Amino acid sequence: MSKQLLTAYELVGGYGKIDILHGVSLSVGVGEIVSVIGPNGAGKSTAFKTIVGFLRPRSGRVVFNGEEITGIRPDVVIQRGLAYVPQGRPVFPQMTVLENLEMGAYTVGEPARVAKALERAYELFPILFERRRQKAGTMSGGEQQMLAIGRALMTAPRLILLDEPSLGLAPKFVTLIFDKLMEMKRAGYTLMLVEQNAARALAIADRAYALELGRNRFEGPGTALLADPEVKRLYLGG
Amino acid sequence: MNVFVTPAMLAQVVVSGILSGALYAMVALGLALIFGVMRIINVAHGPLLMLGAYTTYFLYSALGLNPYLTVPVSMLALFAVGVLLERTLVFRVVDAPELSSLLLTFGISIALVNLAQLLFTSDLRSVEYLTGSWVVGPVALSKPRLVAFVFAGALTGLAFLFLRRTKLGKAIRATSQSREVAMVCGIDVQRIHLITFGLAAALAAAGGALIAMIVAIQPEMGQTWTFKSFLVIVLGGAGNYPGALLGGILLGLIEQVASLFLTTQLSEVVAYVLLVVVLLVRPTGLLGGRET
Ligand SMILES: Nc1ncnc2c1ncn2[C@@H]1O[C@H](COP(=O)(O)OP(=O)(O)OP(=O)(O)O)[C@@H](O)[C@H]1O
Ligand SMILES: [Mg+2]
Repeated sequence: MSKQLLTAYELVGGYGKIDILHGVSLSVGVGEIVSVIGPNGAGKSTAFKTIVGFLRPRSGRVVFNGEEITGIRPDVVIQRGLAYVPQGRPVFPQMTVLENLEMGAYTVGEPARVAKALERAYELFPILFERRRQKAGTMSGGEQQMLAIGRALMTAPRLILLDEPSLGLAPKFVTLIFDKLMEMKRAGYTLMLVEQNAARALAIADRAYALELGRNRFEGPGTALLADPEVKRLYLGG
Repeated sequence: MNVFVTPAMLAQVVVSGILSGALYAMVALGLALIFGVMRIINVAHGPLLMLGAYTTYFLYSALGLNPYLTVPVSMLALFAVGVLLERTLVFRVVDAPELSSLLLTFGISIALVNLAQLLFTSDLRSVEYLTGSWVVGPVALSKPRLVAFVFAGALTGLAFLFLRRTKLGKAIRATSQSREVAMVCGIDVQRIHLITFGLAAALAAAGGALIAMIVAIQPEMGQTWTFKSFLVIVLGGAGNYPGALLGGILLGLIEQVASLFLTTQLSEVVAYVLLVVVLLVRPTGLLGGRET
C-alpha cells in the first residue's frame, strides 16, 4: 500500500449537540482516488467538513501528511496542502473566473508560484482560460464546478477533497468531470470524493468506502465494491 | 405648499441633492459593507459618525488643526474604535439570529450616545471654517457642502479602488459573496470581519468629520444617519456596494425635491415613507441582486 496521506480515525461528531458521525474512518494514500458513497444523509459531507475543520469532532483524530490537524480551522488546514471543494457550486459569483482562481491562491505568496498554478489550472481546464474575464455566476453549472476544482488546484495541494463534483450537472458535464478527475490522477494529484453517482465513482476509484447512518459500512478496492452484490443492491440500484 | 417651480429652483435642488447624496453614499457604504460581509445591521453606525464629528471638533478647537486635515485622523481613530468593538463585542453575534445582532448594536448605539453626553455634554458645537456659498449662474453652492462632496467622492472612490484592486479588498468582497468558499480559499474570515468593521467605522467617521463643518454637533446627531444609511442600502439593494452609491444620490435628490414641495417637518417624513414603500414594493432594492 502507498504512503498514507490522510487518515481520519473513528470520527464522532456533527452539528451542535446532534451527532451525525458515529465513528467514521477514512484514509487516502499518495496518488490514489478514493471514493466515498452512501445514501442521502449518511454523513458524507459532514465527514468532509469535519476533516477540513469546519466542524470539530467530539472524538476521533485527523492526521494529514504526518501532522495532526484535528479541529484546526479550514483556512489553516488549506495552507498545509489540503484543498476542499464543497458541495454545490462553490464559486464567487460576482467575480471573474480569473479573480476566482486568484482567490484560490490567496495563501500563496510568490507571484511566480501563482502564475505557475494558474498555468496548470488552465492546462487542465482550457475553458477557464477562454472564460477568464467572465463573471463566474453567469457560467453553466458544469463550468462553475470546473472553476471550483481549478481554484482548489491553485495552492498546489497534496490532496483534494471533492464533495459531489457531478451533482446536478447535465450528463455531458458529468462525463467530462469524471474524465477530468482521471486526468488529474494521471497528472499526479491525490483525490478523495463524495459522490451520488456511485457507479461512476466506484469505477474510477482505487479504493472506496460506503457510509451509512454515520458509520463505515463497506470498504475495499473500487472494482471490488462495484462487483459486490450487496453494494449493488444497496447503492447501485439493483 | 409651493406650486411654482422654476428651472433655476430645479437646478438648485438637483445640485444640492447630489452634494448631500455623495455623503449619504459614503456613509451608507460602510453600513452596506458590514451587512454584506457579516450579515449584521449595525445600528451603531450613526453614533460612530457622531464620534468622528467630535474627533474633528476637538482636534480643530483644542489643537487648532485645519478641519479638513482632521478627516484622515478621525477615520483612523474610528477605525481603531471599530476594530475594538468588533473584537470585544460584535464578533459574538456574527452567526447568531438577527435579533441578537440588532439588540447588541442597538445597545452599543445607546452606550455611545450616553457616553458622548457624559463626556462632551449636550451643548451644540460647531466647526466654522468655510462659510458662505459660491454662486454659479442660478445655483448657489454652499462652500462646506461642496468641499464635503469632493472629499466624499474621493474617499468613496478610494474605497472602491481598495475593494476592487487590492488583495485584501478582494478578500472582503469574496467573503461577502460566500463565507464558506472564502474559508476554503484560506482567507481568515475573522480577520476580514475585523477589518470590515474598522473600515465601515472609518467611512462613518469621514462623514462625521465633514458634516461637523456643516451642521451642529451634538451627541444625538448620529441616529438619523443610521436610519438614512439603512434606507440607502435598502434602496440600492442590501449587500450591493455600487447600489449604495446609487441609493445615496437618490436619497439626496428625493429629500431635496421633497423640500421644494413640502414644509420642513413633512419633508423629514419623506425618507421614512420611502423606506416603507421600497420594503413593500421592491424589497431587493432598486438594482436588486448582490453586486459587490
Ligand atoms: N448545518 C447543519 N445543521 C444541522 N444538521 C445538519 C446540517 N447539515 C447537515 N445536517 C444533517 O446531517 C445529516 C447528514 O448530512 P450530510 O450533509 O453529511 O449528508 P450527506 O451524506 O452528505 O448527504 P447528501 O447526499 O444529501 O449530501 C443529515 O441528517 C442532515 O440533515
Ligand atoms: Mg452531502
